[in-house]
Amino acid sequence: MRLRKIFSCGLLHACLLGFIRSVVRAAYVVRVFLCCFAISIAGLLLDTVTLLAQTTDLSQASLEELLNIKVTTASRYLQCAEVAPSLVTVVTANEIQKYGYRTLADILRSVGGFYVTYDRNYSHVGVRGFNRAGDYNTRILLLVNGHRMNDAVYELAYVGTEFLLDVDLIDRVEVIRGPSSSLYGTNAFFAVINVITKSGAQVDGAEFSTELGSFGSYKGRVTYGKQFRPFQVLLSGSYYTSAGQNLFFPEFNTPTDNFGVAVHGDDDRSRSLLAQIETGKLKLFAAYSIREKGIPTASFGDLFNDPTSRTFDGFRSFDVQYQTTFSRDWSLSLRGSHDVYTYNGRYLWKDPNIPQPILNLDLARGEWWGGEARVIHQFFEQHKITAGTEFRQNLRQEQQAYDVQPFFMYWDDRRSSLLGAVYAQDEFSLSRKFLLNLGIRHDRYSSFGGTTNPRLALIYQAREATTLKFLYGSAFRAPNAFETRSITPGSNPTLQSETISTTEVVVEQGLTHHLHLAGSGYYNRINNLISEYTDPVAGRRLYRNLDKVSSKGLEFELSSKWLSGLEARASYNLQRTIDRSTAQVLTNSPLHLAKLGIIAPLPGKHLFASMDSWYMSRRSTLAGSSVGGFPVFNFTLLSRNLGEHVDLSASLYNAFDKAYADPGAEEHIQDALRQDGRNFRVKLTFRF
Amino acid sequence: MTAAAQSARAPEYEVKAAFLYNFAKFVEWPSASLAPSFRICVLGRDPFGVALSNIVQSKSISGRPIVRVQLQSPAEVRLCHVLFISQSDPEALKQVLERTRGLPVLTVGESADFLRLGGSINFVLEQDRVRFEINLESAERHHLKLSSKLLAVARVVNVGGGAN
Repeated sequence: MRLRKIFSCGLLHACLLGFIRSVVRAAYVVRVFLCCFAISIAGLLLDTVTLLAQTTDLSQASLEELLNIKVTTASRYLQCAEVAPSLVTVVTANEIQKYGYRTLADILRSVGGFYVTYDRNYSHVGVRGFNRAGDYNTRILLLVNGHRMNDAVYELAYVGTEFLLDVDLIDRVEVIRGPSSSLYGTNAFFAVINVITKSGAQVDGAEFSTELGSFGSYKGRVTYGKQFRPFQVLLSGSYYTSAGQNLFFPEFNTPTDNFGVAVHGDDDRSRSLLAQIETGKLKLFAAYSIREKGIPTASFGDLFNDPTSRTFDGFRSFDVQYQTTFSRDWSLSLRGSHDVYTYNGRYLWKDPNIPQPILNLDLARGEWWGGEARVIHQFFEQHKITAGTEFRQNLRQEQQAYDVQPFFMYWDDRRSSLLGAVYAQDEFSLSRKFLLNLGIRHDRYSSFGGTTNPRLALIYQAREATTLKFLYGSAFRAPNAFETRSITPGSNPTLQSETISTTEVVVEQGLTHHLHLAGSGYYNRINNLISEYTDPVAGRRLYRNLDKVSSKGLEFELSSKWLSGLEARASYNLQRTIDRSTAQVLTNSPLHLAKLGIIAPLPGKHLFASMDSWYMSRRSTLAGSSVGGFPVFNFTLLSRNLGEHVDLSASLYNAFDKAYADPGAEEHIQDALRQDGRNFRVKLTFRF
Repeated sequence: MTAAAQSARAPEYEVKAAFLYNFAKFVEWPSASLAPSFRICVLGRDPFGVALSNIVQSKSISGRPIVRVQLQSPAEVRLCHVLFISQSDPEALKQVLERTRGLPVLTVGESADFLRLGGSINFVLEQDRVRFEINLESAERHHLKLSSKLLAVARVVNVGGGAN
């Protein structure tokens, strides 16, 4: 309720208030902010001076002077996209608009090898056949402008309506497959998702956007972006609300449970604010978001068809980043950040021995700050060395779960922890055709010790249009505060990191001038996988390093772009992910995954039609049953610059009303959870 | 990684942006193309970031303010005075250059085939320095007059009859 009040007092005001409050609240936060401000002010001064000097110099420079300036380029031997030591997919703002993506989850669904399952509370991202039913979404690392978004308690990557940003503010999403702990540390297990926001200059003016969709969904957004040399400013606020559907669950089809219909239990509301100021080298980023979601599934044995059960997820993120190049071959980047994550779960359940329903509160608060320094140096033209260090202090990792009346405390765990890491990488150009990428990172945790992760990639540009990559890397995921929380009565298991090692061969081939084909064969070996199990003594659900999994697969991605505006991408994954002790395929792991997306310009000015579709084969569920394979088709029609200032789009999702379901988790009575049928969205954006 | 790589790349395009502004200064457009603003357009991927906007901000060419325009489609090329095309795919380049035929547009590119395909000025990197080549015939076909100052520091290339 407090959140609603904040929103109503004005976007910027609320944002400032939120941050001022957190500054006032505690001395260490002040320290964090002072540190951040120190970096920003120093950076800003440096930046303004150099920027002004540089731009005045360059724009005043004579032709002869310009001809004598030495320049630095991205990569001496190979181009940037091919040089990445893994398979990378980039989804741009253009595609987000033309395909009608509503959330980051929608965006990831379109990426080859990715699939997203939704339990009507959170979205869980699967990569290359791994997305066990019931697992939290902790094995991908989510970054916003390089800033870590996985929280300090559950370490989840939040990609649904609870994601920090409105997708309209995204310039591009970079999806880097494969283990990247050698650069990013924990959670960079299957993939790293880096979301890059638009700049003020890109928005260049004011935008008002409003959308209307099925299930009583509305969204509004106000954005202002501008360049005031040397600054670029971006301010934005979004509001989303959805009444949701009256969902039918056959498992509850009894007279006492409203014949299985959860009335208005699927509501979803979110608000988010963003403020971003940047100069050429300095970037200040502040964002706030809160999402409230009703839980219609009666998970964790809650009362069915009661609107009390719901979760609140909130974020406050602050980040300052400074990047500069000293001379032709030195560049430095510094980062300071501070984040707060709050989770508030309310669950209403019924004890058969007590007449009144019992309210269970599940609360978590994570607060962390950190710093990072990275230097890139070009040595003798052949070596591009990156070296960096990172630290993170989890100031608060607090979790409480209790019944209100009669009072019962399940756990009350308050802790803090520290993490430090050093890493180095060398891009070594052996010749014009061979590039060796070697990386290693050591992480040390105050809670459980250290881990070292290497990555090795040999990139061979066989011909102008053909690139081959041989990759080996390992990654880890450290046990998080939630998994190691102490439960009374119960034990505090001494968990170790889970680990993955990946061997992969990638071929990238330009077929014609418009077509690009990428193929990959990979083998993943996962050890010490942290799994939930029921402790026979405590009778509680705990976590242990239990499982060993291996996964092998093939992936193909075909993309094409024509200047006429015609674009297409297609991908196919064949994968088999098994539990090594039982030789069984994991739950929620499809054998086949195929995607097809086409954007076609239509006759008429700035008119585009798109189709976004995917097919997933059968997946097994926790109960040993399965959910069937299915194709889903989404269509969007977009008219850009309608009357100069207006973009209008209409989307139809699951256009053929395909009935399909995702596997449920341990907390669900339902073994399968039916997903949305046909639904629409109309979106109108004004630009001034 | 990505961001750092970008910052390392920026200076090349700051220099190229400054060159674009200089081309505008040292090329004469036919009087028919005297629109209220002087337009420097970028088609396709924009490698400049804020560099180009920074350079042209509050600058003018014969009294007209310079505007930097990101084109959405090749059909918009007729609105440009200077057109920068980062595209290096010859087929696509050919299509775009075809659309500028006869128009008073100075086409600037940065790929090996650019001049041969009919472009007017092409950037090349030599010993870490930005150089440019000029196809005089092409400039003439676009009714543009290049100042001697520009020609003095450029490498004038004769692409022969092969150009379209």
